[in-house]
Amino acid sequence: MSPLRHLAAAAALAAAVHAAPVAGDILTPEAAAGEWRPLIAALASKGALQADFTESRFFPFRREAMVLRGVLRISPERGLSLQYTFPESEILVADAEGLLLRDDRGRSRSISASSREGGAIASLLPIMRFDLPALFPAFVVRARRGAEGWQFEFTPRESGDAGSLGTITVCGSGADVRHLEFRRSASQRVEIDVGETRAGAAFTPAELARFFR
Amino acid sequence: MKEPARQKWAARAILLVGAAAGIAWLAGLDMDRKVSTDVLDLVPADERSPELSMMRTLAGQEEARVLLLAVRVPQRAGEGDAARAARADRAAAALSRSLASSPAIAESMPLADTGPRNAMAAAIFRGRFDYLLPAWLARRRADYEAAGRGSGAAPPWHAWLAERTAADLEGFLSRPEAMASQDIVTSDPLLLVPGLLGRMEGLSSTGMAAGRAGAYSLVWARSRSSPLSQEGQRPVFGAVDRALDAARGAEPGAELRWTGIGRFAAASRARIEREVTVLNLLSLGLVVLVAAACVRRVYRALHLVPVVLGSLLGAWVATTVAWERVHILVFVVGSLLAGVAVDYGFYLYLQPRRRPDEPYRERASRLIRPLLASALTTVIGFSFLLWSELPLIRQLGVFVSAGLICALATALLWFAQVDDSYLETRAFIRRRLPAVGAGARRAARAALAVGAAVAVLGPWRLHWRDDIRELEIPAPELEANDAEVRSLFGETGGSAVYLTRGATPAEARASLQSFLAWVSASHPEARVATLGYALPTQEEWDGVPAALAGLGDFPAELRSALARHGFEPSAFDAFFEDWRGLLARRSRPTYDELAAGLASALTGPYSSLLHVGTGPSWFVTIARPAPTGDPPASTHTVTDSQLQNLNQLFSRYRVSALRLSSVGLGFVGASVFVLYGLRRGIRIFAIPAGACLFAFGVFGLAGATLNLFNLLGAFLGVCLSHNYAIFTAESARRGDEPPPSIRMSAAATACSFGVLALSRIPVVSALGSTVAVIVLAALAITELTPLASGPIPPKDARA
Repeated sequence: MSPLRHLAAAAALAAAVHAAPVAGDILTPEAAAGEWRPLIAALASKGALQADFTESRFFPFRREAMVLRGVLRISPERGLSLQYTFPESEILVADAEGLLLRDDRGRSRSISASSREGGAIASLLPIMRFDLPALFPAFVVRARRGAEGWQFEFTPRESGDAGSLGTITVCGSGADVRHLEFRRSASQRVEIDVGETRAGAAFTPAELARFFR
Repeated sequence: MKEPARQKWAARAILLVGAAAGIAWLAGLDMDRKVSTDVLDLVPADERSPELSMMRTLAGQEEARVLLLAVRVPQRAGEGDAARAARADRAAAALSRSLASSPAIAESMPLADTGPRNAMAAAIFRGRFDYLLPAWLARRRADYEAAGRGSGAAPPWHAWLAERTAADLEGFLSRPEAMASQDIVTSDPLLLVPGLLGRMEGLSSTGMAAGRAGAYSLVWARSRSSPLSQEGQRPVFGAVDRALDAARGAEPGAELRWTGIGRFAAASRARIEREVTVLNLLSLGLVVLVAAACVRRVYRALHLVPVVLGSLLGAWVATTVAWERVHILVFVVGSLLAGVAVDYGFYLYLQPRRRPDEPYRERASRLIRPLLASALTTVIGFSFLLWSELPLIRQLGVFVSAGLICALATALLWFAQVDDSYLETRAFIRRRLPAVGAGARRAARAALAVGAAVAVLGPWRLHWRDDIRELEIPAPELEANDAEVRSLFGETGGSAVYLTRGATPAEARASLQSFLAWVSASHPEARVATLGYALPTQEEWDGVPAALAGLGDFPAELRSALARHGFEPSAFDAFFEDWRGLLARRSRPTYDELAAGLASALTGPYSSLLHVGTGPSWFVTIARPAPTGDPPASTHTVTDSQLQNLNQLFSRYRVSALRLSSVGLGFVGASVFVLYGLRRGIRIFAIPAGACLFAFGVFGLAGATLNLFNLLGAFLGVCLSHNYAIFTAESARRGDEPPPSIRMSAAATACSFGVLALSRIPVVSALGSTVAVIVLAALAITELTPLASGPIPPKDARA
């Protein structure tokens, strides 16, 4: 059943393994209070948002990436929801309770956050919320600025729950996240391009029921 | 009145020898071995009921020995959840190590230990061509044939299969769960293992796969001995206590919650033992109290105690001689004998002398006919229970029969060795209801008419249901703890657990196939998970050689298909190498070896998912949401709730007991007709039969649900009230009023059984309330009938 659990962890968003560290500032609880504070505060306070996304999955045994599309929703209270619309319809919810997969017939499968693999999912949530105090114990956090914006890289400190997700990179500009990457190697990675973001989205009760737990 | 010395000493000698022999026999018994608390001892060892054979297997095998333990540690100030969980893991590891070192524990492991599931996954992956390929080929072949029926020019089977495989693989990679399986798909492009994992998803929510639940770290253990035996209880509890000390040594303040069948079994035994003591003492005390209230010289009522003790001693001895193991419930229910056995003491002790110097022998000889008639007819009736299928009922039959015979013998002997064997009752117990005119007669007739209406109409409203759990005292606190611990392990509501059985692994797997088809057809919304998916059916297994032979050059066609779907065929070389090995294999395991191989790969908690080997084979299936209704009998599948109550089985026993009781009552009635003639026999038998129907009528109108033990109680009640009818008839034959002993007997019996009605064991309570209502109803009929039919004319007037 281990692969099943791994499935859950990975299915949350992905592949991963250790990538070469990029240059930049290593954030610590003390440094986080420095020049990055306004950006992190802005990212952390974005509240509910909705955006289209395109996910590219790279496998070493395929010539081309598998491309999936859908709608990403984040609710500060409910967690992260990925509504896949292409090539198949499926909804994936990652929240404090763990992982939930719901097919288009409404049938769902879930994995508790208290399980080890569910714990990996739980460790994703602080990243989505830029909750650095919660991230520091599990990840080495690097930040750097480039011509096109900013980049945060989260490298698991050990091969525990969070370690099963590998290195996670979050890129963006201004207060918008534009790109996420989960990298195990150059040929094994998942890239998510985030389209135009609608911040401050107000989800209706029906949407909350359909797209979250 | 002085009785002859020879008579007295002879009676004393017989009593002493009998008592000494009985006590010596009981003292020599190993009561722990002799007295069982195992509910399975209540049913026949050769019972072929499928539920029971399954339950026997479960109880006797490793599955019943599982202990579920959950450890948590108190949160420190400022401590995060992750750090606290890590400390709980350390405590759980220490607990598990300590348990594993105990001789009472066969196996223990923290669920954080991924060893068992990794071993299972690795074994299935290694043997995927044996375990999973046969069903995969059969399903694909069915799809191919279904697709080919609609089109005239279908591609060849092997080409179709290669194309379908590549397309499925491409589709799979776009699914969220694909990322977890990417490392194995190059060895398994047929998606045998990912397919199995997807179908087994329901098992992952059982908690077996989770190492933690909230703040708790989970530990799974198995005791070495059955939890229903002494060895599986106290030593295990001691091991758990020591393990908790070890956990607290590693993490001070660690808290433990745990459950296991042994806890229920031990608590049940302790409670029933207390119940036996309390019920017997209370029953005896009340009987003595009734006697004391009704007789003039209270202390002389103590002469009734030896009668009761002699009866109980005889019953215990007879039952323990006749059976190797006797269920404790027999002794609980046996406490009713106090109320029955004292009857013979009443009849002898309270019978007035004809003349002041009438010797005991003469007085006893006057009574011997009704005494023997009432005792022997009851014994005959209960002896029919010896033909019951149910050991409990057979044991009760012997217990009551032997007890009654011993009660009569003890009463006859005891009063033969005392000089004054007459006890005068108080006036109120002898006083008859005044027959004062038509008003009283009308009231008595109205009361009898109402009773008759209840007896006729009420029984039609009865409901019957048996539940083996009602044989034990409920333990709500243990049940609540059990439910909470099991919920930590993922056993929550909304799902149903099924067990599908067969005499062989192949039969069980075939039945599982039928069951899965039933769920799929009748409850398509339900997700089912079973390790049975990892074992092909015998038919699928046998069909593999021919199926492989018919695949042509499948590998080459698969390479081409993979390339067409955007894959690098060379990345799948590991699979093609394994496929060549499969085709080159010269021998393959038998089906039983295949099943045994799968079972041997299951360790720890996973070993409960299927059973092959000694006894029947079975598979566990979890369905969520729980399908409504029980599976058809043809699927040979039962729910765990069916196993828990054994209702169907006990319903069959109830019918059997009803048949035997009816035959027994028939003989009781026939013996009355032989002794008293048809007309008087009918009048005598009408009293117990009417009282019995009245009692069932009352229960029916009250909406009660009755069980096997109400039926047994009714049988006993009829036999007892039959005694009152006989003594009333005997008195009427002599022109006497009914003796006061009938009232005292009915009061003592009602008290005695009223005590049983207070029992926390539901079936004992059912038995007690039934008998109490019947004897009181019989007493009422006995009292009201003379009133309703007019005053008894004075004796001298008839003369």
